[in-house]
Parts: sequence; C-alpha cells; structure tokens
Amino acid sequence: MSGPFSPKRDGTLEVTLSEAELALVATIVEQMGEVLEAPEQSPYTTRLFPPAYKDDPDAQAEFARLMTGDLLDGKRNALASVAATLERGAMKRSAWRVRLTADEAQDWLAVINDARLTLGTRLDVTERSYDRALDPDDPESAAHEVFRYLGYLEEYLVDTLMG
Amino acid sequence: MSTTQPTTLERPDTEEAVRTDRPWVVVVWNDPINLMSYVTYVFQKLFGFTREKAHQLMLQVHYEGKALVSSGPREKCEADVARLHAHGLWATLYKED
Repeated sequence: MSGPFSPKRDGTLEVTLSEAELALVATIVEQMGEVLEAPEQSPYTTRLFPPAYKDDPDAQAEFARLMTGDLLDGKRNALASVAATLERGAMKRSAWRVRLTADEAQDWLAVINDARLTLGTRLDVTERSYDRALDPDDPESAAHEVFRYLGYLEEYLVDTLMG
Repeated sequence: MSTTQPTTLERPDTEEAVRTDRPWVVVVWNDPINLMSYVTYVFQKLFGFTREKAHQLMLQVHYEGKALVSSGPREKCEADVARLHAHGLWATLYKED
C-alpha cells in the first residue's frame, strides 16, 4: 500500500486518498473558505495574518495595509486551486486519485498548513499536545483527530517534495 | 541533543552567513504547530539554503526560540517577512542596533 502522495516520472504528483479522506479534505477546503471570507471575524486567523513588527504599531499598520490584500489573495487562490483538483480527481482502483502539477502540489501544502495553523490555534495546541493520547471523552476529540491526520498528510507531502 | 549530527560544526557558519553589518534583520519565531520538516522545507524554498543549513536554522528556531534568517535593506526584509507569512511562519523584522 503506497502513501497519499507519490511522484511520477512526468513530474506530476499522484494523490491517492480513501473516500473518507477525500471527504475530510473537501470539508477542510470548505471550512477554510469560510474562514477566509470573514478573516476579521475569526479569532483563529490572527495566526494566518501575523504582525511583522512587534513593537512598532505605526509600521505594523502600514505593513498590514500594503501586504494583507496580497496575502489573502494568495490564500484564496491556493484554496481555489485545491478545490479544482478535488473536482478533477476520480475513483480508480478502489481509491480516489488525482495528478497534481508542481504548482498545485504547493497549493495543497499551503492549504493543509493553513488548516493546521487554524485548527491548532483553535485547539490551543502546545508542544506537549503531540505526546498526549487522544481522549475519547474530550468534546474536541474529533477535531484533535483531524489535526493529527492533517499533520500526517503534511509530513508525507513535505517528505515527498524534498525527495 | 543527539550527537550523531555535526550540529556544532555547522552553527557558526550559519550565524556568519546571516549576520552582517546591514541594518534590518528578519527573525523566525518558534511555534508549536508548524512541523519541523515543513519549516526546513520553507527555508530551502524561500532562501535557497542547502538542506543542511535550512535544517540547522530550523533547529535553532526550535531549541532557542528564534533564528535570524535574512538581513538587508528594509524593503527586502519586509518582502522576506511577507513571503514567510504566506508560508505560515511566524516572522518579524527589526532594525539592528
């Protein structure tokens, strides 16, 4: 059984997901779309738009004025690109598959990472969280499981891209 | 830290490369969410560092809480911070004394 990402000889990257994984990725794309549509209303998105100046509010305001639009556009474009690849993929040999160009692979990486940052911030993840066993009685246990799955997916993707 | 990797040999070289007399510097801060492998990958992608150098800088961020990753004129540093933010890294810039 191969992993979720596998490089092909023509330079594309094949994604292979189960139906359950595909549904999860599609949900995440949808939720990140909602987050980006109203970023100022979400307490979790400060992590996606961090300050560049720690101790200079005027310089920070100017930086945000110049840069936030491009940053948001980049995130929207990456999300639209991933959504398009989800549409393009199909079930083949009992799994869902799609081939990504190099740019699309970067878009997948960006969206997965932004989703981890958003969810990790909401769950108040710390360095110690990774060693802790999942608690099935925790009302957020499902979200923690999604967070761990995204970590697995991203780790695999980074390893594949690094070669 | 494991002694199997020549970390101490590489570190002075890393510091030398990013510390110059120029006035502005870019710092990447440790955070509990970004994966170590991802941070290494982003350093390679954005700054063209070798894997070894990118790995050393990532370890510096992880164990010391931050690392200087670039320096130069203010506009260049702001652009580097914007690129790091676009990749989800926690970066700031400041004028060096």
